[in-house]
Amino acid sequence: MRRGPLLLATGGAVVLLHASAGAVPAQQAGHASREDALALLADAARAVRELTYSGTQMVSFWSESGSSSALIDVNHVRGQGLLLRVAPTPQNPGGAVYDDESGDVPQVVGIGGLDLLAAHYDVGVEGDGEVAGRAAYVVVVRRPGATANVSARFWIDRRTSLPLRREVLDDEGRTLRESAFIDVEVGEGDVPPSVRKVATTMPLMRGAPADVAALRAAGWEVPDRVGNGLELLDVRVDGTGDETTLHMTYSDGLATVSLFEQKGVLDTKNLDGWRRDEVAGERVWVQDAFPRRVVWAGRGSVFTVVADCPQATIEDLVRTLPHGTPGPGMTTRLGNGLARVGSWLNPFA
Amino acid sequence: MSDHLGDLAAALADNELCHDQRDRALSHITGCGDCRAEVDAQRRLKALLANQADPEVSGDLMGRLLDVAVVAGGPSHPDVVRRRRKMLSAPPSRPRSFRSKAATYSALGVAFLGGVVAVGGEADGPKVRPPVTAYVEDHSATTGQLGPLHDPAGNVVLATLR
Repeated sequence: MRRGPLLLATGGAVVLLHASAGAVPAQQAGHASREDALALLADAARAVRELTYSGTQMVSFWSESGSSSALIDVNHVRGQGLLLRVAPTPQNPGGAVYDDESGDVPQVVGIGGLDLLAAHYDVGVEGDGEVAGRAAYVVVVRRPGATANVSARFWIDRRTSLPLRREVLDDEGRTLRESAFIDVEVGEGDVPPSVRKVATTMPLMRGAPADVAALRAAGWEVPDRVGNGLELLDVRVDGTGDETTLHMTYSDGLATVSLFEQKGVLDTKNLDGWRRDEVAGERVWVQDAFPRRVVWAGRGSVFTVVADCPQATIEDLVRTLPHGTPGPGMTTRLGNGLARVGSWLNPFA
Repeated sequence: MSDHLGDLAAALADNELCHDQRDRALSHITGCGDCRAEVDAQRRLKALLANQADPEVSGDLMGRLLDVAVVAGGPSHPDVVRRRRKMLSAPPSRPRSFRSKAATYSALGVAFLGGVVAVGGEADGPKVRPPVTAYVEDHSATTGQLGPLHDPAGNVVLATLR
């Protein structure tokens, strides 16, 4: 198993780049170029890994079905790892997660994060801000087009390049996710071994990287793109035989979608916790939770989407994937039917 | 009693005739080999259907079938019985022609084949119930690699620690 391929998670987009070696452009707000903004984001991604820092971060999510918030103690020690501790709330039992950052990250995917963001969005530095008493550049991400709403904002520490705050919004300008340091200290932090022991290990991706061409030849649906510009970044295969599952990861640099595919027929009689719904005119089953979850059957496969993205992105995605199960040909149907009727009449069957 | 039972053969096999009508029909088939064969065929078909286990009908299909009945305003069971009784008291029908019998058997054959094709057209493959909890963890692992910028706090912690 390997660490996740994306260093860009939802809203993060900035990822493990080895871009500009640390120099934050000293542009005045509103006058920085697109390249300056991308360099700022690249520096921020590097700072997250290379700096030692600790603090408290507020994280919130909103969706049609409700919201969720948590206060998280963040403790990162350069060269050691990242500890996240969540205080228990009525919505969340709390706990701790530790990542020793030894995970293997496919380079092409990591670099693809910022490339995707640059390909799908306009980026600029628009204004100054302050977070937890620290001066910050505000990097704004928009869909191309003069009238497009803001898709995300990042507050990057002017002194250290550490990302201090971020917001991700939907196409109507509503906030989907927000995270911000309430207090932060850079250059300090420690993760005692005793704490690491009790913390949960950061989850690992299951399955092995797969050959896309071979999967397609074997009848699996593996689109290069889904929805409105989500590009295929990674495909993994887990299990064998009827238990085989494909995990495809798509992103546009800001939103990230996991698409799972299994061969077979959706067992609609045993979908506890799911409710039937219609998305993009198609019959699906959904769970009202975060990340968003949608499942449906199409062309002999069952598709499950887990995504941190706006509802409109989900609808675009559902629309572009197969739906319904076309039956076999007439001869096959007749043969299947006779065999089945025969099994009814056979008392020994 | 007429020369042949005609459609009453089915009513006799279904035991839908009153005592008098039933006695008359039974008297007829004692002397009519064609009608006796037809009643026997009806009984065998009925027994065959009665011995089958009830197929599992999805709620969706059942709903649509009920909708069809409502929309079509089809006759209720008593309506059918009344119509058959009326036919019994009606003037004797003409003997069934070969063409009529052929049409009946053809209709039965088409219905049977239609049923076979419908059964054979059902989607095939293993039943899948997605393990969504594992999927959410996989998704979190995909997106939760880096520090706060990449939202491990939200995606990993909130999704993993349940």
